[in-house]
Amino acid sequence: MEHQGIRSNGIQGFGLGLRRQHYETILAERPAIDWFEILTENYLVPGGKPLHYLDRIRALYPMVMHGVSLSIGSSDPLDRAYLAEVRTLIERIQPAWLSDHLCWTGVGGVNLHDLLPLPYTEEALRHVVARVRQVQDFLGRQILLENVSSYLTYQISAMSEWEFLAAVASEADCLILLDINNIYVSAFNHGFDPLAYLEGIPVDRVRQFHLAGHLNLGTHIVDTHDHPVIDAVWSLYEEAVRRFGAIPTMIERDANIPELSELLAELEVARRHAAQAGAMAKQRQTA
Amino acid sequence: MSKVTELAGLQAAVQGFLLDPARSIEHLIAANARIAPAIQVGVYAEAYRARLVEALDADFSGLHTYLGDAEFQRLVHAYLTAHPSRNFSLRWFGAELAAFLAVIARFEWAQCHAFDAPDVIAIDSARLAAIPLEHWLGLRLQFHPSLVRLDLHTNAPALWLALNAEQVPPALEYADQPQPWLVWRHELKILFRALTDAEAFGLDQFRASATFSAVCERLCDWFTPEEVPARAAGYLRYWVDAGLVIEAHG
Repeated sequence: MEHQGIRSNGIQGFGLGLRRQHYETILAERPAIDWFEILTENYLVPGGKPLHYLDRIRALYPMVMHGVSLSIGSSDPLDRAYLAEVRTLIERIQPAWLSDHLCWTGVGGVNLHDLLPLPYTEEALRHVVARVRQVQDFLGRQILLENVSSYLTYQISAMSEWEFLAAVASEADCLILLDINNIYVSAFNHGFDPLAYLEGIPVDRVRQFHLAGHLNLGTHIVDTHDHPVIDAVWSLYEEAVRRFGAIPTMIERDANIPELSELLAELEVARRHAAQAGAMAKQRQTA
Repeated sequence: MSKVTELAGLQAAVQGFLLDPARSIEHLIAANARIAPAIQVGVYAEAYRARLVEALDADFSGLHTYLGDAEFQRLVHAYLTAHPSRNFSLRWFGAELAAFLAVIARFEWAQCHAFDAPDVIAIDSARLAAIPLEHWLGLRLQFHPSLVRLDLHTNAPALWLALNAEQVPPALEYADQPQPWLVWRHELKILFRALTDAEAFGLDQFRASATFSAVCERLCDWFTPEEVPARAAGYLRYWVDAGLVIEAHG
């Protein structure tokens, strides 16, 4: 099936994850944020405050949707009831696109509410590709899949995560949300080169970047999304901008949520890094 | 074995471990640059519990304050083990917490009652055998004060048994028809037993002061008239042996 093509769909520049702690400030101050990303599941509710604020903020800003329950890699059947609710929310807020994760979240009807890594095997690849196609057909649009941070390596994995992600994107004709922090975290934990990851991802598939902080325990990094972005992740972000261009970028803070002003300041840092990388890329082209 | 089956098998094993970290899946995990397999899977096991506890904490902050940290932790760990989330959103994870509390509480409260109810000496089988045959039709029974009759729509006793043994409790189950249970104390031990509907009916009738002949008549709804006297006498013998009967007089 042909899907509605996505280039930018009006999304460009620098966004933030919409969090309930900031609803009032956003409406009162209308800060200079280019767009918001909402957590899909937070708005799959019958009514009340979440939808009240969602509609008001949507009237002011472009939005994208980001889900955590698609469980695209699960061996369970796809949850059609969930997808139907997602489709209803799509109709309500008309997002530029929606994304979820390259992972599985449970089997046997159980939801573990975690983004569990897949084994990177040929057959898992076939399984995911077929399901992405089904989801895209059901929703009538391309989806973005995001790389998760991971701590475990399965014995049966036969290819790298980036090879798997690139193959899914190309064979299922879906798009990629690249989480720069997650690449950094997984590279640290698994001992691979984060630049090799970036180089393994096809440039024309990437539509969005995530940036976030994490918790370094020394032996390994836990992706908590509750700290500011660290310098090494900013450097990797610059590398990503050089490779993929001015991709819409957002900071994702899921816990320990600070005042909106603090995230706006961090977004300014992201703008500076992107500009610097862009300038360097231009210099390189000129040279 | 096909690889999709391999994927399903791997996912079932990983999920089984997250729900019950006493299981081992280290054979499925490869050592990586920094972290041994046990640590790799441990990160997920800890994160799983922490995330669900946090969700319940957010939804039941009043209950948390009321119970205190330690008891709330105990409660939610038992709950999430008995009740893994089956919804796409954590928003609905706590839906059964009140029912979970109620079923466990009701069953435990019956045990509390049985634990220190008054001491009354139960009759023994010799006392039963000594009742003259002509007194049986008008026989009435009195029961031990520790006896509690429960009709449970849930598998609370199985849940409680597992929790008490610090094992993984089964999922909470609801049945349209209640299961009759008996909780009582015998020789300082708290005992409980599931009853058939017929035995529960007979017991309830005797407890409401019905005579042996009246109970037999009503048990004809379950058994043929020829079967009934032997069934009823069988129940009576069991109750006496279990220390449940403190008086039998015609």
